[in-house]
Parts: sequence; C-alpha cells; structure tokens
Amino acid sequence: MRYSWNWLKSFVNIDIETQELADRLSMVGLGVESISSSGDDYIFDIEITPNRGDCLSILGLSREIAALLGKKMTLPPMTYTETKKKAGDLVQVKLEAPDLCPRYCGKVVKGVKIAPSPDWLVERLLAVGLRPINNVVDITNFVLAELGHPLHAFDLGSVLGHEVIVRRARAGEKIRTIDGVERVLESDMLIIADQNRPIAIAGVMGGTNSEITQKTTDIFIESAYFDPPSVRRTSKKLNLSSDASYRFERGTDPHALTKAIERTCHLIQELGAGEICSGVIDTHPQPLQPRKTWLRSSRVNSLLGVTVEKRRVEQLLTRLNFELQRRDDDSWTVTIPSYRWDIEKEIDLIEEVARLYGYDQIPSTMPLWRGQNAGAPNWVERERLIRRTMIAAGYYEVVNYTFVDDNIDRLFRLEAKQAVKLQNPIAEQMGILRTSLLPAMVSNLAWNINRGIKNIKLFEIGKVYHLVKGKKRPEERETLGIAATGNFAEHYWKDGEREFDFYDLKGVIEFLFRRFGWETLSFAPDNIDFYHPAGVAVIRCNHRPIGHMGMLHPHICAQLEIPQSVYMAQLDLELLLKAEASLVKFQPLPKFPAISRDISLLFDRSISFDAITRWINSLKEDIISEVKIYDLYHQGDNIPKDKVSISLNIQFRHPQRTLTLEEVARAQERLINLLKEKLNAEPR
Amino acid sequence: MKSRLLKFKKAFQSELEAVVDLRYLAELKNKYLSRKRGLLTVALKEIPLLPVEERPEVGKLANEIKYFMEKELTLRQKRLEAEEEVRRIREAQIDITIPGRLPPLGCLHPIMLVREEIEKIFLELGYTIEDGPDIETDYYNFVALNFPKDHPARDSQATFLINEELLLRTQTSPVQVRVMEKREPPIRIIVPGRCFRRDWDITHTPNFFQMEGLVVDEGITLGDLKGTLEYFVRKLFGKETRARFRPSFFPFTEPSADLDISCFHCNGKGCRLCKNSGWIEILGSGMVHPNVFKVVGYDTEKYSGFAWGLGIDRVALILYQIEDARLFYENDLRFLQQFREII
Repeated sequence: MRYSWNWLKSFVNIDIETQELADRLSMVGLGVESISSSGDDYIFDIEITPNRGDCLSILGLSREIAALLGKKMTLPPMTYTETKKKAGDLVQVKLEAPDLCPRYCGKVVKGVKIAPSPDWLVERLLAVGLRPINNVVDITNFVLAELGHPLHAFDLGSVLGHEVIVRRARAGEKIRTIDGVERVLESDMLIIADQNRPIAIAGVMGGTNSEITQKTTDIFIESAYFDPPSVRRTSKKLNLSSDASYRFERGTDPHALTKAIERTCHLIQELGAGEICSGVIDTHPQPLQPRKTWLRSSRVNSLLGVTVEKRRVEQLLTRLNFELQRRDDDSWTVTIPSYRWDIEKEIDLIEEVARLYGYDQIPSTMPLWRGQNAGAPNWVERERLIRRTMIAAGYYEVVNYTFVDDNIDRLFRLEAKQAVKLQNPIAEQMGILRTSLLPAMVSNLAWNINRGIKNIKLFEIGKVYHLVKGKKRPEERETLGIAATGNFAEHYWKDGEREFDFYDLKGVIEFLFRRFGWETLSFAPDNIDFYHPAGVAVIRCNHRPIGHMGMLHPHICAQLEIPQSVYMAQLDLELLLKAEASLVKFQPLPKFPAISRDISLLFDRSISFDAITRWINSLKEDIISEVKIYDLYHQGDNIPKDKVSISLNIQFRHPQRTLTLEEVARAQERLINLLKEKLNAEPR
Repeated sequence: MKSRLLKFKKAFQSELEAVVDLRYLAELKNKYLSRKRGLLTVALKEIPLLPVEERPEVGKLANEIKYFMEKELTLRQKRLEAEEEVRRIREAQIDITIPGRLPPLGCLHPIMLVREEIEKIFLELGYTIEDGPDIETDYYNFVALNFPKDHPARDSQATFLINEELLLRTQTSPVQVRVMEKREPPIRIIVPGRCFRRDWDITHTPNFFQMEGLVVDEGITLGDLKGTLEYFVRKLFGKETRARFRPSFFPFTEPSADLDISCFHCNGKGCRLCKNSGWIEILGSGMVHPNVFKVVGYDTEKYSGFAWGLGIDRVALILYQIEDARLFYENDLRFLQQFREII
C-alpha cells in the first residue's frame, strides 16, 4: 500500500524525518518496504498485515502516526451546502439483507458536470497509485484513499424505478461488471439492484448498466458497511477483487459512512461538479453498539515479562483511541474504536500495549525447563544415521518435489497402487503426489549426465503417498531411494575403472542394515516391470517385503534418453525407523588359528549362492566358520555352456583347540560330497 | 713367478679402478679368485712346483696379494652397495604434489544441513522433535490455528487441495495442535517438515521446508520468546548477530513478532543481501493465541507459550548466499558438491 508523505502531513504534524518515521512505523508493525521520492513528495510503500484493514488509508496510517508521536490529528474539511431538493424524494433504498449489510447510506447529487479532475487531485491519486478517470469517479477514489472507505457512484438516471435494493442475488442472475465481464451470480451473493436487475455486486464492483458516463447528470453515492466474510466469499467465487473488496474484506468503519459522504460532497462542491441534494439516506435497522472488553494490568505484565505501569497502559491505549475505565485495582473496561475489527479480547489489547511500548524495551530471558522428555527421538537419530551412512558410502543427498507427472510416475508404480491427485496443481506435469522416489531420481541422473557428469550416486529420504481403499486419508510413508550410474568411483590415474553394478547397490543396502545390527535381510528374485528381468530383487526384512532393487529396464532408460546403465533401489523406512535397534553383543576373540581352503566346483548355471550356503549350513559342521565366494565365471575353454565354475573359500576353526589337517580334510570331503549329491556339483 | 704375481696385482688394481657396479665387481673377483680358474688361484697351485728355496718367498707374496685383493674387493663392494642404496631411494621418490585419491564421500543436501544445524541448537536446549502428516485437514491447518474460513489471512498461504476435506499443509503449525491435543504442558518441541504452497518464482518453490518451535508452560513470557530466539540466531549466524523484533500478524499468535537479524554479510552497513537495510527477516513468532489453547483444552489462565516458524530453504538461501531457491530442487551435482566440506 502506497502512502504520500505530504498527504499524511496534512493530517498529522510530523516533526521527524522520513527515514526515522519509516523505522518507527516498522517497529510498531507497519513494515515500510521502501521510500521513494516523487517531485516534492515521498511515497512510503507499507506492508499492511491482513488484520489491519483500518490502516489502509491516509487517515488510518495518520491515526497510527499520531499515536506513535503522541500528537493530535486534524481531519480534512467536510462542509458543504445543500439544495432544497431532498435526496429521499429522488431515490428509495430498500435494505432486504441487513445480515450482510448492517448499514447503508446514500446521497444524491444533481446537475453533475463530468469533467477531468484538477491537477492537485490527479497528483494525489497518482501518488498513491490510482488512475484518474473523471471528476466524480476520482473523488470517490480520493476519499477511498484518504479515509479508507469505499464509495460507489451510480448514474441515477440508469437506476430503474429510482429504487436501490440491497438484496441477495437470485441464482443465475447476470451482471456485466465495469471491467466488461459478464458474471453469473449465486444466491448467497449480495448485490445492489434496481427494480429489475442487479446494478452492482455489493462491495466488489459496479455494473456497466449504471456506470458514470459523459452523459450522466444525476448520481447516487453509496456508502455502506458490508459484512467482510460475505464480500470475501463473493470475491473469491467470482475470482474478482477490487480496491473496494480488498478493504471490505478486511473490515471498514461502519461509523464513518456519513463522514465519507460529507468529505465527498465537500470535494464535489469544491470542484463545482454538481449540486448536493439535502439529507443523507441512512438505513440502519439495528444501530451497531460500541464493542467493549476488559484488560488486566497483571496479565499484561505476566505475558510480556515486564512491568508496565498502569498509567503507561492507559496512556498508550488512549493514544490509539481506546476508552479505558477503571474496573478495579487491577483492571479496566475498554471501549474499542469502531474501525478496530482486529481487537476483540484482552490478548488483542496486550498486543497493542506491547507494540507501542516497544518490543525492544522488553528484557530477554531464557525460560526454565521443567519437562522430562528432551533430545531427539529414536526415529530422528536413525534417519540421521542412514543419511550419514549413505554419505560415507559416497552418495549425494537429493531433495525432489513431492509433485510429479502421473505418466512418468506410473512407470515406476507397483501393482495397483493409486496415486493421490491434486485438485489445483501448479503445473500439469506436477499433478500427483509421488508414489515412488525413483522417477525424480532417475531424472536427476539424466539432468547430470546431460551436463557432462557421468558417474553419479544419489539417495533421497522422503515421503511417498498413495490412496488406501476404504480410508479417507491417503497413506504417507517415509522412504529411502537410491540411484546410481556410471563408474563405481571417479577415475584415478593409478587405478583401473570399474562400472557400478548390482553388487555395489546390494552392498550399500547390506551396509546400511548392518549399521543397525539388523541381519535378517534377504533378497529374492521377482518380476518388477521397470527393472531389467536379469537383475532385480525384492528386499525383505524379517520376512516382510520392504523394498526392491535392480537395474533399470533398458526400455525405460531409452525412453528417458539415458545412455548408461542405471541401478536403483527403494526401501520403505517406516519399519526401520520404528524398530528397536539391536544391541551389539561381544563375541570373544578366537584363540586358535583358522585353516583356509579353496574349493573349485562346477555347478548348473541356475545355481544360487544362497542354495550353496544353505546346504553347507545343513551339514552342521561346527568347524566351518565362514564360506565366501572366491571366484565365479561361466565362460572359458573348459567350462560347458550350462555350467558355472564357483570357487569357494572356506575357513575352518575350532574354538577350543588347533585343528589337525586330517580333521579339515575330512570336513572338506563331507562338504564336497554333499554338494555333489544335492546340487550336482563336479569338482574341477 | 714373482713378477707374474706382481703383474696380477698391478692389473687387478687398474681393473678395480674401472669397476662401476656390483656385476663387474663379481666378474673381477671371479677372474682372479675363482676356485677353479681364478688367475691367482691357478698361480697358487703352481707354487709346489717351484724350487724349494723360492717357495716361502713366493708363497708369502702370493698370500699377501690374495689378502690384498679380498680386502680391496670387500671395500669396493661396500662402497658400491651404498651407492646402489642411494640410487634406489632416489628412484623410488614419488611426486607428492599429485592430488590424493579421495575416498568416495557424498554429502547432505544443503536444506538438510541447515535443518540439522537448527535441530542441534534446540536439542541442546532440551527440546524434542515431533512430526506430523503432510496431508492435513482444513481444521488442523487453518481452523484450529485461528484462521477462520473467509478470512483474508488465508490469502498469504495459497493452498493445494486434494478434495473437499484434505489439503497439503501450508505450514508445520498444525503439528502444534496435534501435539497439544495429546499431551499436557510443559511442552518444548521443534517440528521440521515439508510444506506446500502454490507459489513458484525465484524465491518460492511449491514445496519447501519449515521448522516450527513451540514452548508451553506456566509463566512463559514474550521476554522468554525474545531470549530464546536471540540465543538461536547467535548460535546459527554468529556471536555478533543482533536481533530485532517487529510487531507482526499471525492468526495463531498474539502478540506476534517478525524477527530480523543484523546482516552478517555487511555487518548492518547495507548490502545486496539485506537490500541495503542492514537487516534480514528470518522468522515469524509470537505468544500462542488463547484461541489455540482453547481448541486443545488448555487452561489459558494457567498456561502461556510461544511459537515460531522459519523457512529452512530461506535460511539456507541466506546462509550460503544462494540467489535462486529452485536450485535446491534441481539436484545438480555441481551445486550439491559445494556443500561437501561442511558436514
């Protein structure tokens, strides 16, 4: 909102510099965004919070300045002379919806001469950012800027039957507003109508059918108080806002209706723009009573943490035009000015006291803590540990938008999961809440590859969302996504290069689980459309599926124009974040040396390492302490096509004594025989 | 015979001079002292064939020469070995100016870095962390927080709608209500989380992260709010940071205050970062509105409290002097890598 320094000075004798005024206004909650000079004037741009509709005028801001500086305010001249013709004989006002319009005032001006406004008026309007149109419209805008009260001037000749009716619209009624758009009205919208038709949307915008034109001779000036929520609803529904609706929504002063008319009439007369008919039409079925509340001095002090003298409270609030009456030793009854709709209760008054007293005058203290629970809960610690682990493994954390393109998300969606749709997305390709972290992460890879970065390892921790049958509330699940492409590490001049592969991805997941002491992790083959069928696994923890991993299907890579292999995984974290962390239990260090043996065997091509270790475990051979893969290959001169050569490294160890070579040889033989028998293995 | 021996000695001496490495030294040793064909060995074997009277003299001379040769050879060998050692060390010298092999270290997203920094400060003060759902009801996001329907205060929070009842939270504040509903004071929490507003420009993204703080107990004052937040900004932005509280408006707090910090970039003199004002707006705060306490059934006469909320993205923009908030969500590695040193 723009305010003219000169205009303000016509209301209050401001005896400080512009910058000091700006600083002091900011410190009472009227944040000055900028001061710019314009001719011999300065323009203050001030951010008015939505509770302070009363400050949206020169008068309103002057009241604050007067209170701030402890000065009196001078109101502009409002006098005028009237002709003998009575307004009441020229137009009838019928107020049919007093709930949405508690008070409606009007004035008639005859013999209007529509002309351009004089320079001084144009200058003022331009200073506060209003566009001059003609003298009558400009005067109503001038009064709006000056007193904060929206007025509307109707061409009285166009008001059929000379009747102004304030009523609810009939559903489907239409009006063309002065911006040239035809609007269809609904039955809860308040309108101004003549005998036949709507001529204005109350508090929002007038109709073209009653607009002031060059031909206008008689006008009806409306000054009304409209119910703020009603104006806001109408304005929102029609997606139409105006300077008037902006103020009505925020609450105008119902006691200033006639003042606004008086000031308007004064200006009309000063400009010689018409003759003022006698009498104000004032429809006011239930006069609004002054609002009252109370305030306790003790409460002011206990909430602010400082003792504010009672005299000081009285002084500060009186400056803001509150009327205080002592109720008892501690409290007052307070009458609230009619324009302060933001003030209802004691707490609102405490804020007023604090604001003028100065937040900077309140001593800073540290509250004592007498609660029991403190510190980060387990799930926070755990999430942090996951982050730290991923970083230590060389992965970069990304954060993506929650909103994704349904068409891309669909490619990565499991089973019949249903996505959560937005009613009003910000862009078409951001229409749903992600059901998976992977689509955005894959585009992160593409983005970076396109910028010349080929070796990428990313992770994200964030929520995914989907609808749940029979439940109103969609499910939100904290999830970990991992995506990688290119080489395992950046090239180093001394080292060879190695492409990131399935086992790198699996390794980081295993590493993650190990850090929590969770060993019950298993990987099972499965069919998931978006993975390469040759390398995909479902991840289970305690036998419950918690995620999946694999190589992105080459078709999808091609579709997303990614020229490299992509590996990715997604893990549901809800279970992991809630689970108890298992304690490390110390194992005594081995006292006797281990004996290591390598065994090379030919297996069927379809063998799994998991099957081999399960059979070896079934032997219950206590002295076998570890079985590792030492080598694996299926191509070679002496390996049949349907076979694979696996070399196992086996550690033998006895906890109580040193093993003899014979014992080891016997155990090794039993092991080989078992694998021969159960898995059709052939020694090489 | 005597002259032959002396000739050997002379020849040996000059040949020894010419030896430059251990291989030649071994050859030289073989030439004269080899057990079978060594020139001196052969000569020694001939001594018994000499006339008896010559034998002692020639024998003595031969042994002296043998001893002399062995001594010289050993000396020479030691010298050569020492030279060889020096050469090996010189050859093993590596170029220590080549950059090292970095371990594969990733890094946190800058928003998460800032989030953890802020969390740390409040955890040290005895706060705990709470969270709540991203998908909220109009009730928790607005009504319970004293935003009436059809109130212009809602204008500042353009809301994403899911259906008639559900929306995406525009602030972390609904968690205040959820926590107070299930717990009695004293309360001392922070709430980090993702929020959503329909804004998209250089400083606004349709989702962003907020951090909320709430303290409720008997006798909590506006002075406590000031003291706590002054401590916080000094911890986050540096000891020299000054704080300024300006009256503001939020429906769920009263009195409300915006908090500005003195610009840490220009130290309050005025620069681009603070738009020449010397101050940077950091967060909104205030004393919990009694209407919110009523909603959760707290005794407004007994308890008071304060709450604050800040945009983590915004703090990250300011702290790292990033000009475009959209960079946070592009996840360009050249951007992310810049925060690797901070962890």
